[in-house]
Amino acid sequence: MDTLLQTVLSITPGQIAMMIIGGILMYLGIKKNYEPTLLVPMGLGTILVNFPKSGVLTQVIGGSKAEGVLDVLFKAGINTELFPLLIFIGIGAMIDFGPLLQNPFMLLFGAAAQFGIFFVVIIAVLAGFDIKEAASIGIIGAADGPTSIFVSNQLAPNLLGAIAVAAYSYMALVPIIQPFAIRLVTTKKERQIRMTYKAEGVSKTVKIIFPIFVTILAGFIAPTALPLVGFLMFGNILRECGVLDRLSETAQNELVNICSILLGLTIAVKMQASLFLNTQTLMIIAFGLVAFIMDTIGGVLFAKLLNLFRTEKINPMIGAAGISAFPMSSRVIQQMATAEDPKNFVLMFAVGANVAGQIGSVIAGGLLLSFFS
Amino acid sequence: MSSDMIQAFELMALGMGGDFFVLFVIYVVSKLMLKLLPPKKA
Repeated sequence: MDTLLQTVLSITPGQIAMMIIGGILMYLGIKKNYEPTLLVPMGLGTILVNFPKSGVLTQVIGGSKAEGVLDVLFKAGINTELFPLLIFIGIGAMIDFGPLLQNPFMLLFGAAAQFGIFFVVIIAVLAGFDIKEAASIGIIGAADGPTSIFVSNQLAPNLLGAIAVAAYSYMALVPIIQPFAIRLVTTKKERQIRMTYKAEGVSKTVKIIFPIFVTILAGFIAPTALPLVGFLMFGNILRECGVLDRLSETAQNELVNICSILLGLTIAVKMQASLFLNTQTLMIIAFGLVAFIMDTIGGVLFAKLLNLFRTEKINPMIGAAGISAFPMSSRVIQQMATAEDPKNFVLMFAVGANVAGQIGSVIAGGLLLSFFS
Repeated sequence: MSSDMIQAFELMALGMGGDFFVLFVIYVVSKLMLKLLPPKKA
């Protein structure tokens, strides 16, 4: 009875607010289906870590230190970058580079649509964050949860909780954010541009060499990004080599599922009221939205720039698919194209650009880390 | 201009330039591979 009373009396308004936030995250995941694999465990984890003297966190009890399970997992899986990297193997095994290799020109959109990352770095510095914190906030624009966690954990671990929440929330909100941003910078006529699909045949050999080549190139250009690129491409080799189907299936399912559970729960260590409830968090959430909008605008404007020199015009919405949120972004672009012209099919181009965005975002994360190494 | 702001602009140049460079190289090599290693005709 004493313990119950002590807990109830010692809980702070901040902790109660965080529990409500945890509940909202779970609601968004379960009811709205917004990235439930992360938001549900993260929501419950947020509730768990905000009880006074919560046993999931390391506590000193009777003069001796009792390790909390989430602190142990945090040290093992996030401080070491293990969880996001293992998830990357699974993501790599899920990616089919075929549509990209059929139209390799789409690769350039994967670079253009990273503009939001670097734009927000400048905005965050203007707002008073130091350069490493600003870079960590900018990486929300990678539209890639594991990359955001990987980079921010190295550059600004104090902001990790807010950055993870923003990254995953906005990825789930791509169907709302991208149409708004695209309409800001395109006309109806531009959105109606039809593109003739000419796919190049892709041999199995090319599909196997491609991830190996990207890994080697990343190793030379941004060696700090090698864990990200290497694990992503390793997953893809499992998929494409044709002799490791069992491993590929495991990476796509069991590995990703287990790591997502652990990552979601463990990230909640950074969702303690004392770490999360401040004006910085609100700014990070706002800047994350700016990053997604500017990514989209960067991709669209790049497509419009190319159209000045091309006889065969590109539907500028394809540029917006160059963000990493796969496959949601490409679906959104196809839906918008169909809404403007029911006979306009740009899905395969959009998928190509979207897959390119996955490479582009990882390279961008690596370049950020290289800058500070 | 503060040193952080200068670094932020450097990051913009290095990041966008680097990303375009890497993806352009991948584009060129992909085109080359598609030409040199076409799918076998059935």
